[in-house]
Amino acid sequence: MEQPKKELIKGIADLFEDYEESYVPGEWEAFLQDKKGKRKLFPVILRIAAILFLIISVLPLHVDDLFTNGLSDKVADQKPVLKKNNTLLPDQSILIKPLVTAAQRINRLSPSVSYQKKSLSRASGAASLASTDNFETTNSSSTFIKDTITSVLKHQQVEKSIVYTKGRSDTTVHEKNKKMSTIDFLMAESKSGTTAAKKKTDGPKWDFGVEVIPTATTVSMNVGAGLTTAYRISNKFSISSGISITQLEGGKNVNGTIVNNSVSNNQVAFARELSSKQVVAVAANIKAIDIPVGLIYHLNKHYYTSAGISYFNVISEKRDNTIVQVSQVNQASFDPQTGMTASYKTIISQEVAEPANDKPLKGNSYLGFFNFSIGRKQNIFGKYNVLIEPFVKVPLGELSNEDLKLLNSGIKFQLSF
Amino acid sequence: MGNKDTMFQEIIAGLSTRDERIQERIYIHYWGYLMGVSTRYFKDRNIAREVVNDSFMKAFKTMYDFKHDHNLEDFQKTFKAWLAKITVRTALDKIRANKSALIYVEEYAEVAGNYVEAEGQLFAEDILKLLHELPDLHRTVFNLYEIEGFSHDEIAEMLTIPVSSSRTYLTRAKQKLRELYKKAYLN
Repeated sequence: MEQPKKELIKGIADLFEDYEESYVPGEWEAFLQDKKGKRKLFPVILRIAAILFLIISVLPLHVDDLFTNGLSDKVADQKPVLKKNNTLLPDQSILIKPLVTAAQRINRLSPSVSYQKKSLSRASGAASLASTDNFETTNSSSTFIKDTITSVLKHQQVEKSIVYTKGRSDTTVHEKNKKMSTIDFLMAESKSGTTAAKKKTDGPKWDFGVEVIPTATTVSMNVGAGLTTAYRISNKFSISSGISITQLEGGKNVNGTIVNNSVSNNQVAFARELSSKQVVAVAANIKAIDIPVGLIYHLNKHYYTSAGISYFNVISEKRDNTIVQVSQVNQASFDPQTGMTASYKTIISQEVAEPANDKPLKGNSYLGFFNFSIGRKQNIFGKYNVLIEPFVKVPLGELSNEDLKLLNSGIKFQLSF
Repeated sequence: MGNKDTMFQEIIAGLSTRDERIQERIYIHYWGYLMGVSTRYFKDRNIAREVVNDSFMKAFKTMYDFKHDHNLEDFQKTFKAWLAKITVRTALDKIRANKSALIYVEEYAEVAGNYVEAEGQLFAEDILKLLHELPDLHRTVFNLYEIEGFSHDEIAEMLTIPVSSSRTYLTRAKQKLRELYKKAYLN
């Protein structure tokens, strides 16, 4: 049976009204995998945040251990082991080391302290120090040091007795404990100087600040403001974060056919374009909350560089479309020779800006920008610093796909304390 | 027919009990239809599949709150139309994300006569080929108006274009389609 003839467009509309393809086996399974993949993306971001949180919260407890010289601690950790044959093997060196250190410190602090027996080497052994009579001090300030040394020497005597006493385990354990406490004391004493000095230079680990952020996009100048914080994880590195409210004005020219004001020779085209409008540019004004997380590398006392990412939540969005409108109008003209009024039709083209209803960004959150910056820090007084930081923010993910060019750069002016 | 009714009854029951197992049945049943919608907007089948999958993800999130009056026939129609609407909007989002929807408008030469009769049966594959020769914006307006049944006001809002442009693009799309059809099948 022959089908009734239809107008083409009507035929197409009818054809596609209930048109469907046949199901391809395996699509559901592929969909499930795709779904899992998309779900994973968010947990990955959560994991990164959790790791950063852990680093920030755990590092303050262990950062001293990470960045101090491990040698002395290592020595203190080693416990003397009494071998079956009652000889102390590596532990003699453990005892001698702090002794040598202590002696060196005495020499440094009090040059007048002298030893008749100066050879405090392993060869001479701990026993060679047994004679306290030979130890003289001429400076009253070194009394404490003298006591320390004396206690160590006494300890060495005890040590000797351990070596030569057989089968008296009780005494051995007791003396061992005594020896450890002496070592601890010496270690603590030798560390105390450096720790005190370190504490002086360290200063606070947390920095807080307020900032003003003038930025420039390809379209206009904008301004933002916010709060910042940074945590120093080592002398060279800090983790920074904060929150700021930013205003961004982005735009894009649409590369379309733009109708000129002057009447071109292509009048046929104009005639077809009568009463038509064409969007030639879009401009958007966005207000957003920006939460950056970054890693700062301190090049030296004054200069630093940082890199990081921003979470970007758009709280308000306003869009304007610039439209070129071509329309046909009647115009009248007066002929001075004949005195007649002549009316004729003309085509005019005008550019109009009108607000758009579409707000695709509003209310959405994005993993918004890559942030790169370099900066200079200048102390003004006390713990107050002024930071000047030129930066560039490169949109990523969905923001980079937007019609608008949101790439922006500017200078952060920050007061930190 | 009986099997189909049973399936829809199961879907309705699954929606009311928020049973996730019905997702597979819905996906397999409607995949072909939504691919039909999506391929009208995208020539690239991979993008069309991606749009369909994104649409299903959106639908599966919200379908448990889908309002219906438990009438099987009405449910079939409204649920299908609801899924198609999600797919169309997802497709438009994709078009917007990939590039500006406000693109170059090609000038067409005037063709005499607005009435072209379809010769014999039309085949979807042939017409899709013709559709994909249209500029994106023209094709989109044509699909939205002639097939999906949106008004010019709605199209203008969805595509952020003036209403008059929507009318112009539709006229041009139809004109171009007729021209292409004549060239391919009538000459």
